[in-house]
This record gives sequence, C-alpha cells and structure tokens, in this order.
Amino acid sequence: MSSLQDIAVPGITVPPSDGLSGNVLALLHEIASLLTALAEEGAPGSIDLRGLPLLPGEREVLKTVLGDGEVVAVIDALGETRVTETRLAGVWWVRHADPAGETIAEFIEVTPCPAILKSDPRDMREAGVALREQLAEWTGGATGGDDGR
Amino acid sequence: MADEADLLERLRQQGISRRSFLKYCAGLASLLALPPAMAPRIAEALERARRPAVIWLSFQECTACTESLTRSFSPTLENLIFNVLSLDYHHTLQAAAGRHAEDARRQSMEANRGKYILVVEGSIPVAEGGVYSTIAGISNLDMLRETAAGAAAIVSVGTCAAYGGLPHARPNPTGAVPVSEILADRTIVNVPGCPPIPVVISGVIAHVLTFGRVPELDDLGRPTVFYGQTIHDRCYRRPFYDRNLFAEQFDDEGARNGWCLYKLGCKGPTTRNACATEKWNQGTSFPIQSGHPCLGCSEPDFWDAGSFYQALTAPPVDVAKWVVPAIGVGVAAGAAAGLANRLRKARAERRRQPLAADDVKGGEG
Ligand code: SF4
Repeated sequence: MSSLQDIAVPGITVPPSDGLSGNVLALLHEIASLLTALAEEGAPGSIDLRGLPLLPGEREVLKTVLGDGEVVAVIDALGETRVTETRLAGVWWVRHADPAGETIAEFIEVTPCPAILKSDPRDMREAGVALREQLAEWTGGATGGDDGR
Repeated sequence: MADEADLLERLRQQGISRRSFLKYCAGLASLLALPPAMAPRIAEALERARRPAVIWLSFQECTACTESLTRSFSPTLENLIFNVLSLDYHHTLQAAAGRHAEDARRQSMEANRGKYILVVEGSIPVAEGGVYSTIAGISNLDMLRETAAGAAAIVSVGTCAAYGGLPHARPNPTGAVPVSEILADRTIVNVPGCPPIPVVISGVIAHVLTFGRVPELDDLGRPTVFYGQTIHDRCYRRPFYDRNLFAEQFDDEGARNGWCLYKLGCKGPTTRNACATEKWNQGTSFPIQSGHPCLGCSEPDFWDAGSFYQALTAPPVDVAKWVVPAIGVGVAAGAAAGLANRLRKARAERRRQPLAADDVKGGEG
C-alpha cells in the first residue's frame, strides 16, 4: 500500500469574489466553447456530470447560474427523464432517473435538441403500420391513402 | 442456451421501449466514462449483440457476489444486462443438479466454444491436489482449467476470485489462490470487491458485449474505468479530511458532524473502487456515508492488512490552505442575474432595440 503522503491532494483554486469556484467557472468555460462549436460547426457536445469531483453545493451553483429556459420535457421511460433547456439556448440539463428516482446519468447537452426527445424512425414506421391495421379492423379493410410503407 | 434474437427485441418483448433502452445506454456510456454521444452507438451495438452464453463457476465463496448482482429491485442497468444473458450454468440459480448440471455446462461449452463468457466467483484451493472443494467429484482446479479453455473472456468476480480473498487469508489452510494464478497465460478481468458493486459487474459484461473486447485494465487486472480512482478521491467527506476535521470515536462530536473517518481506520485513501460514486442498495448509501470507515475490501489481502480500525498513517497537517469552503446556492444568484442580463443585452443588440438602464448596468458586470 502507498502511504498517505504519496497521495496527491488536488489543487483547487480560490473562488473569485462573486462566489463561483474554479470548478463551476471551468464548466462554464467548457459550455461556452461547446456552444461555439455548435454554432460554427454544428457539432453537438456534452458534459457528463456523473464523474466530476464537484464540491458540495457546486452542482446547485451551476444549475442556478444556468437557470431555466423555455422548455421542460418529462419523459416517462423506465423512470423519469427530465430535459430542461437552460436560459442559454442550446444548453440542456438532462437527468435520467430509474423508477426508484435514483439518478442513472446526468448530462449538460449542448445541442439543438437532445436525442432522447426525438422519436425513432423505426418506432414511427411501426406506429403508422399499427394505426393502419387498427383502422382496417374498424372499417373492415378500407383504410384509404397509401399502405403506410 | 444462446439464441439468435437480438437484445433489443428481447427487451421489447419485456415491454421496454426503444427510448428506455437509449436512456439506459446513456447511463451505460456515463458508467463506462464514454462521451454521452456514444449512447446511440452503444445502443446500436447492443441491439445487434447476440445473446451471449455465460458460464458462472462458484468455488470457495459466500455467494455474496451473486447476491449483489441479483438483488436489484427496479429495472436497473444490471438486471437489463443480466436478464438478456443466457446463463447456462450457475449453482445458485440453476434448477438442474448433479450430473444434469454438469452435462448442461459441457453442452454449453461445446455449442459456444470460443464465444462464451466465463465468470468465476470464489478462490481455488490447490492444497493437497485441490480436495478442499469439489463439485460433482470434480476439483475446482480441474473445472476451472476445463471451462476456461474455450472461453472468449474470463471475469473474476469478487475479491476471492481476483486475489484469493478471505479463503486466502493467513494461514490459508486450503492453499486458496486467485484465478489469475491458475490461468497465468490468459487475460483475466478482475472485478474485486467483497462483494463488488453490481453495476460494475454488469458494466464489464456490457463492455464486452458492446465492443467485443475486455475494457482497459490496470496492473492488477482491474478495469481502469471503475477502479481508476480511490474511494478517497471521490469521497464526499473529503473536504473534512482536507480541513483536518476527523471523527476519533464512533460516538464523538466529529462522528455526529459527519467528519472524515480516517482516524477510525478508513482505508479509502488506498482503496480503488467506485463505491463513493455508484453507492449501494439502489444508490442509497455506502459504508462511509453510513458512518463506518472503508475496509478496503477490493484490495488484495485486505483481510491481513492490519486492524480495520487502525489509521493508515498520520494525516498531513497543513492541507487546509488547499480548501475551498463549500459553496451555497445563494452566492450564485448574483452570477445568475449577471448572465441573464447579459443574455437580454445580447438579444436586444441583435434586435437593435434600445436597452433599459438596468440591462446596461447588469451587462457590464
Ligand atoms: S472518510 Fe475515508 S475516504 Fe472519506 S475522506 Fe476520510 S479518509 Fe478519505
């Protein structure tokens, strides 16, 4: 076993006077560069909040600074997923929880629309087919329009 | 037995939607420290994954590793993955017994030669020809060698299989050794812990299914993604350690205030595991959060490493200067207002609208 003295204590910078710590500022800088990449190259990006060694309270500070935008979506899929656009357009706070409410994953996504919100093309095709089959059953075969393919 | 239906199809038969699947793949990406953009690619790879055969051998062990994996109550990542494996042989979970069970193991080995995943739980006693633990008259040593020969990947689950664990503790009467000592020429993925965190077990299996190879390993055979950092690196009591605030007894003021457990023998600084981030019992807690020092159960020879309640060494005295005090939400309000004002200003400029005096003031901040 290594001794305790061998274990590096990570340097943490002193927060500036407005109370934002180095970690929060670093994340805000990263979000700013992700927004530039999104605007200029159309490249979406994200930050995984799970493994970040944030100090107590820093997550809340970041959340408060980013604030709430116009869109909040709640997805009911094996537990709740809450997708909130922050007050920065294109910056989304996405929290996936399991049925017990435990966080499975939490991301800041920088994208026009988080992938989890979009319907899958295969699901859409299946939905069309299912609807047409149901209509055919109700109307005795006359569904009208194309055949759904 | 392994069949040809793909994983997503089987999940959908269980009523799990594509979106739920994608969500759990996002969780998997996060777990494996991959960028979230990888989630759709993980989903695609897992969708195509054929149902893999798993042979799970239980040797000198207490079955807690199996308990760890099977005791999740809600549809978690671990049971999603676990439910879609073809578990062809497992003492605790199989219905067959005796010769029929051994026939099933051999049939699976034959049908899936070179493709099955071998999971080993427990150490292997080698003293006196391995007589201390036998199954259907076959010594653990012989069964391990026979089953490993055709395995695509070998995973040692738990500290016993990874490092010998409790059976290996002094004086080790059965001559217990870890899997890696028997199969010295094979790559063994060690998933230590007494028991290991369930999502770490399933994460390793998911990695093999997704990428067709074992994850990156450290010099002790552990996946770096889960064992790359110490408990201490991620411990929420770390700010107290950094400020030299320690509990010295289990019922003193420090203990009641939730201070660092270092002086009570915490092995967090020398223990590599994911307990502090993944936690236990559906993310409820982990030993340190419950007020008990880390025992270091995922490290080699933890049982023989001295008292659980003796501090590692004296803690350094002058670390307080590194520390940033915990930040309250309140202090962010000013920054949030500044950002909101700046946004309003940017939008107004874009629309070439006149600004209110407050906007200008806030925007300069
Ligand atoms: S309780 Fe243990 S792991 Fe946590 S900070 Fe103290 S010594 Fe480190």
